[in-house]
Amino acid sequence: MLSIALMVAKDLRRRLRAPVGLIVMLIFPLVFAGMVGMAFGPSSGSGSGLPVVTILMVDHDEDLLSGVLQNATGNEEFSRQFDMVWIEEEDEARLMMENGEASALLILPENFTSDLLDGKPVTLVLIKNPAQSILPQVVEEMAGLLGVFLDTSVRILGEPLLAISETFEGVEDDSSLFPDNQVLVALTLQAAARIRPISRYVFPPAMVFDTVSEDDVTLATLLEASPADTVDDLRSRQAALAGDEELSDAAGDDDEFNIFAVLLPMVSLMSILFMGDNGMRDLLAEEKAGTLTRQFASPAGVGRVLAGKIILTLVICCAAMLILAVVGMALGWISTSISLVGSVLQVGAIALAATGMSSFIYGFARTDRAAATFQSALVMGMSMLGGSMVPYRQMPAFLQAVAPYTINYWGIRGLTDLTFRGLGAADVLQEAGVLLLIGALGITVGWWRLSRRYALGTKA
Amino acid sequence: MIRVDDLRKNYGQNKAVDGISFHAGTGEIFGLLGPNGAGKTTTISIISGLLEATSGTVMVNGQAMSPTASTVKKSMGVVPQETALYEELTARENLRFWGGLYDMSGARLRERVGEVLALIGLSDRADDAVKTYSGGMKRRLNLGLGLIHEPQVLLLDEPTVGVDPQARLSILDVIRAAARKGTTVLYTTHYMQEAEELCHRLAILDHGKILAEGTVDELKKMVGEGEIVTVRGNFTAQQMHRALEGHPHVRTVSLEDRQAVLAVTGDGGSARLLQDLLGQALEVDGVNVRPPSLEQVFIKLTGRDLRD
Repeated sequence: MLSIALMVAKDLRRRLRAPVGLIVMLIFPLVFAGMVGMAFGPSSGSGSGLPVVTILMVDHDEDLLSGVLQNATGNEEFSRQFDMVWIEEEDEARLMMENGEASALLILPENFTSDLLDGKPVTLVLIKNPAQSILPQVVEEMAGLLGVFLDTSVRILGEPLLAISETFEGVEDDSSLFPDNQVLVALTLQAAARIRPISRYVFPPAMVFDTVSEDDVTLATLLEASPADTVDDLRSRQAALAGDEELSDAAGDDDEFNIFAVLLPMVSLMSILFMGDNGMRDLLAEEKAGTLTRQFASPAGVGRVLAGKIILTLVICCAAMLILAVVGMALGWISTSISLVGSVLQVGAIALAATGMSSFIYGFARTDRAAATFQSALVMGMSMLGGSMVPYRQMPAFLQAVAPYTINYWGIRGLTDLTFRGLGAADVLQEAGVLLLIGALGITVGWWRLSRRYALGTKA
Repeated sequence: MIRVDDLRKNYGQNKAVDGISFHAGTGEIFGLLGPNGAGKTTTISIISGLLEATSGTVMVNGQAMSPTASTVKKSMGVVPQETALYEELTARENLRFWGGLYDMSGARLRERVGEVLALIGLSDRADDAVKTYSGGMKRRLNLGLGLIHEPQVLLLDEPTVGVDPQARLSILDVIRAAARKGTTVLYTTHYMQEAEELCHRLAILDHGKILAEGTVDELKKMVGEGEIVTVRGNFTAQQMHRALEGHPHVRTVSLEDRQAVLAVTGDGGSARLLQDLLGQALEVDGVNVRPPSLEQVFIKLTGRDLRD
């Protein structure tokens, strides 16, 4: 055992003297998760993973359609995602934009309603905040949709809308001008007559927008939802997932969606699988340098040398995950109150699975090039299918069926249970068990192949 | 002590080692001399427990050697042909690691590391990373790693390949010092001069077989040639040929105008040859007499040059 410890200590010291490769592998998941996470905001009260988009609105029209727009954007559902700030003076709005107080400024021009109803060209002015990248794009897309919607509405409902506009003209100042019931019914019938011919294209709608509350379905479940899922599907899946347990607030403060708690495990898994290669690849490096043969000639022999490399790989993977977890906690990406026992179990299982995969690969690969090709193909394939690149539920059904055959699937499932859902050790037993089995199998096959290869002889 | 009996190693139809036997005693430097592919490295790999022999036995200090014989391995130091070092670590760290693998620890290990560093002349660079060393320094450290645990048997596989003359002399001195302390040294090389200078006894190996074995002098006598005489002067090849006729102990190695290289056997043969040549009024400007070299022995035994 002492000689194995000596070998592991020696190899760790060698890595500390030339740490660039490992540092790059460690930085990769942090940078990647950071970039993606920051693009969508670390967390927000909107409950969707996107921060609230602030839009300044200047209304030079002050007529029917701008009023409708103002009322429509004031509803609760809309305001959870967009903060519409109506500013009276355009200069003031432009100054706020210069100060970076909003993602975009949308200006409704004078005679917006009348020009639209008269079929004249109307120009909406949109000023985007250049300091932001994604959110102004969201506003631009929304403004584009608004244009299409208004155009279509005016084409279909132009006459009734014009009639409504004329009927209600001056009502604000003189209530006696309010139309009687007969006029209102006539206006309604006129609008209904316009809608009826197109009703078979509009009803039932091709797309249904439904709202589920966080009490019913957590965002973790939504993230894993496939396009074919209905709200009821999500609700029943959530119920099955939650069981009788209360979800703790470990995923983030006040049950807010913390995108990093999902992203970091996803990307880390891919990185750890690549790191597993670093330990076992040393066999080929030492074989090339002659130090492997020299160790075989020592009393340590083949068995202890192989054990040393396997333990080294395990230590590297565990240390990498520990560092990622500590940095994740320091950055506030992972809650500090996650289950310690569960984390140790899951981290150990992932490290063993990564070691097993690497042992398996080096059991068959005899050259650096063969190993690198095999390793890259396997890690990238498993990362794609197992959810390290995109949540696996976003993939086609036949690919989803493959996901459970990957290390990433079980690793990410267990880690997000701990970091995101705030579950405990008992809840990751299945994931850890599968990973331990994969690891044990890989190590056994790798050991058998490697010890057989080296027992056949190595020349001095 | 090493004893090898009828050692064979086959790779399919290829006989890498074909029934060799020899022994090396305590404090003896035994050389295996042969060209590349002669079977030297395979032999040393079997003796060091890296390869399993097809048949035959290897006894080290009275114990049978095998890839799993860790007790035997503990008494041996192996210095491979390539510089098998950890380049990221320092010389001291390398020595400590290899010492640790041979169950050395604590004060004894620290003390021994210092001794070996002094022995190989690397004390002043002990804490520098090996990757900053010259080729000669790496070779010396490579040797030092094999000596760290004071082995009873030292196996060296061409340890001076590619080193400068100064480093080579230093390495040979360290090996001689180890042998003086009682270490049995098995040394493979294809450098004739090195084998002559260093080894107490030698085996000439080719195609997996030992062709001859003995001390350097014994080997030279085996080929039956006493001395090599080079004669230079104002004579033609024809004149020299006539002058040599009737000399029973002289064999012409090469003959041309103004120079003849002759192999002379028998006690006082060279002196008699010179008297005869001078007696025949040949104009001789210079004579060089030297004993035969191992190279000539090798050519005689194998029919080819060692460099072929």
